[in-house]
Amino acid sequence: MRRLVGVEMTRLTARRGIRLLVLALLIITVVAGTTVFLKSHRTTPERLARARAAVASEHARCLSGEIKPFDAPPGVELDPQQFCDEQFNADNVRIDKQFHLSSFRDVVKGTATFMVILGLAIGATFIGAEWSHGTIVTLLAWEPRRYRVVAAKMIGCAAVVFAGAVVFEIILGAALVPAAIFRGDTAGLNGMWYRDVAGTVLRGATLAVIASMIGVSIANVARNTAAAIGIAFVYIAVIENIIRGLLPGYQRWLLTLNAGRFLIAEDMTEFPYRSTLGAGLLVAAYALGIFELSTATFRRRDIT
Amino acid sequence: MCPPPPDRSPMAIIEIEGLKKEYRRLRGGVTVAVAGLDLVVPEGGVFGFLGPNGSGKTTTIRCLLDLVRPTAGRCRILGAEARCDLPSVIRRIGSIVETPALFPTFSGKLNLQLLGRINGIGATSVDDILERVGLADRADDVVKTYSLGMRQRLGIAAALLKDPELLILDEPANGLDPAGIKEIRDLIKRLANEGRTVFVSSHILSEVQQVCDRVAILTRGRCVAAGSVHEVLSQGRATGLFLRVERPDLALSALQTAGLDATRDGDALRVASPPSDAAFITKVLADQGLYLTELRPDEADLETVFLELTQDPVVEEVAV
Ligand SMILES: Nc1ncnc2c1ncn2[C@@H]1O[C@H](COP(=O)(O)OP(=O)(O)OP(=O)(O)O)[C@@H](O)[C@H]1O
Ligand SMILES: [Mg+2]
Repeated sequence: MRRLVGVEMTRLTARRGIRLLVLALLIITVVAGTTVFLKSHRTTPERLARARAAVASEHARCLSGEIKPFDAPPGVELDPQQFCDEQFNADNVRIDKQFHLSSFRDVVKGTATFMVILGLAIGATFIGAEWSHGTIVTLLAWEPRRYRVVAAKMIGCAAVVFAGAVVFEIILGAALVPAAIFRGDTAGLNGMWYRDVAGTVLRGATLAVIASMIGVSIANVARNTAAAIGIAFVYIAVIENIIRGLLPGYQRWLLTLNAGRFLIAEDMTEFPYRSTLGAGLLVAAYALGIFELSTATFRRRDIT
Repeated sequence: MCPPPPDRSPMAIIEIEGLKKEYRRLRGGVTVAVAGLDLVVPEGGVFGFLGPNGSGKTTTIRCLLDLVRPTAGRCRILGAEARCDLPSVIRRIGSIVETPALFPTFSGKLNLQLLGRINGIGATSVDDILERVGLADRADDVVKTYSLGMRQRLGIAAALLKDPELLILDEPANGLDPAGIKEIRDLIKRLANEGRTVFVSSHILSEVQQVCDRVAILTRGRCVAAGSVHEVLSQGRATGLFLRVERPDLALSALQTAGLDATRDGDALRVASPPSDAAFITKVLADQGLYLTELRPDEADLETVFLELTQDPVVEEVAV
C-alpha cells in the first residue's frame, strides 16, 4: 500500500498540469510581493503635511463657493461653513498606505478559498485522467483490489495538496515580508498572531484536502473530470443556495457554510450553529461518506 | 461468495465454465456479449482466441481479469477464482485489454517505471524490457509522440514487465503493418518458447494460425470450435483434392467425363472427392496421357473454417 501511495504521488507531481500550476502559483507570489512592495508607502510627516495642505485648499475652495453641497435635500438650506468644515477637515486626515504584515492573516483566509477550489480540481483531474485515457484498466492489471487503488490515489493526492497549500502560503508570506520590512510595518506579530496564522493555514490546507477527496470521489463515479467539476459547481452554486433560500432550518448542515465556519474559526452571528471543531468534523464526515459511497460504486461497476 | 475450487486438471491455466455476460442497455433490453462459454486453456504454448468483431473476446478477457462482473458462470485463472482470488495471482499475469492504455503525456519509461514500482520492480528491469521490445531509443519521449505500433509494443512491454507466466494479449497486432505483425508474431513465439502461456485474441486469422498451438473459435458469445489447430481445421468442410497438371482444360473435361465433381481453380483443379479417390484420378488422367505435377488433400485453412463456422444467419440477440 505504501508503494502504491508513493507511485500515485509521483504520478500526480509528474503531471504537466500540476507543474504548470506550481509555476503559475510561484509567479502569483512574486507578482503579489512586488505589487504590494511598490504600492506600500510609509506615512512620513511630510506626506501627512502635504495631504493636509491639499485638504485645507479644498476647504478654502468650498468656502469660496467653488464646491457646492451636491446632495442638499430640497428646501433645506445648509450652513456653508458647517458643511465645508465637515467635508474638508484637515485635522481628520489620516493616511495609511503602508502594508501591515499582520494583515497576512486575512490574505490566508482569502487564498484558502482559492486552494479549496484548486484541491477539488486536482482531485477530479487526477482520477478523471485515468478514466479518459483508459489507464485505470492498466492500473488494475497490477493491483486488482479496487479499494486500494482509489485509497492510494486519495492519500497520495491529499498529501500533495496539503503540502502544496501549506508551502504556497509560506512562500506567499515570505514574498510579502520585504514590503513590510522596507515599506510597511511588522507590528502585531506576537505569539498569538503566529498561532492564529498557522492555524488558518493548516485549516485551509485541510479544507483543500477535503475538497480534493470530494473531487476524487465524484470523478471516479462520473468517470470524467469535467462532469465531476460540473456536479460540484451545480451543488455549490445551485443546490446549496436553494436550500439556504427555501429551507433555512437546514443551513446548519450545508457543506460550504460549515467549511467557512471551520476556516474562519470565530463565532459568526450568521452561522451560530457549530463550533470550529464541530464544523470541521462535519465537513470531514461528509467527505468520508462521499468517498465511501463512491468507492463502493467503483467496486461494483463494470469497467469497459 | 466464492465456491471452493473444484477438482481441476492441474495443467489448466484458464478455465471458463458457462460464462455469460449481458450488458444492460440504456433504453432497456440487454446485449448478450458472452452466452454460456466453456473454455479450457492448458498450460504452455500459444492459445488463439478467435472470433469476428463483437463476438465477445474482449468481454471474456475482462471477466478473466475481474474488470466486469459475469451475469453467470465462473472463470478461473491460474487456479484462482477471478472474482475473488485474482489478487493472489495477478503478479503472474501480464495483460493487454483492447488498446494498451498509458499516460500520453508521460514518457514510455516513466509509464513503465510507475507500474513496476507497484510490484517493486526496479528501473533496470524497465530498461531491459524497453530494449527487448525495441523502444530503448525512444524511451524518454512522451507516449503521445509514439506511432500506433510503438504504443502497441510499449503495451506489450508493460505486460512483460512482471515476467509473467501467463500473457493475455487482446488483439496485439491491431493496427500494425505487415512488418509489425510479423514482429509481434515472432515475439509471441519467443515468449511461448520461454515456457510462458500466451493467450492471444484476434480476428486476423492467417496471422494467428502460424503461431498458435491451440485455438478456440467464438461466435456471438459461444465457442463453436476448440482444439489443436489441426483438429479445428478438420472441422471444416469435407475437403477434396487439389491437383496441378500440364493441360488443366483437357484434364477438367476428362475428370468430368469420368463422373467426378471437378472444378477449375486458376491453373489448378479441385476435385470434390475423398483422398482415397486419388488413385482413380491418377489413372483417369494417365489414360488421357496427362501427368500430374501436384496432388494433395485440399485442406481448408483456418480462415475458411473460421468463416464457415462464424457465418450463421444473423440472429437478433435482444431479450427485452
Ligand atoms: N460496455 C458495453 N456496454 C454494452 N455493450 C457492450 C459493452 N462492451 C461490449 N459490448 C457488446 O458486447 C458484445 C461483445 O463485445 P466484445 O468487445 O467482447 O467483442 P470482441 O470479440 O472483443 O470484438 P472486437 O473483435 O471488435 O474487439 C458486442 O456486441 C458489444 O457491442
Ligand atoms: Mg475486442
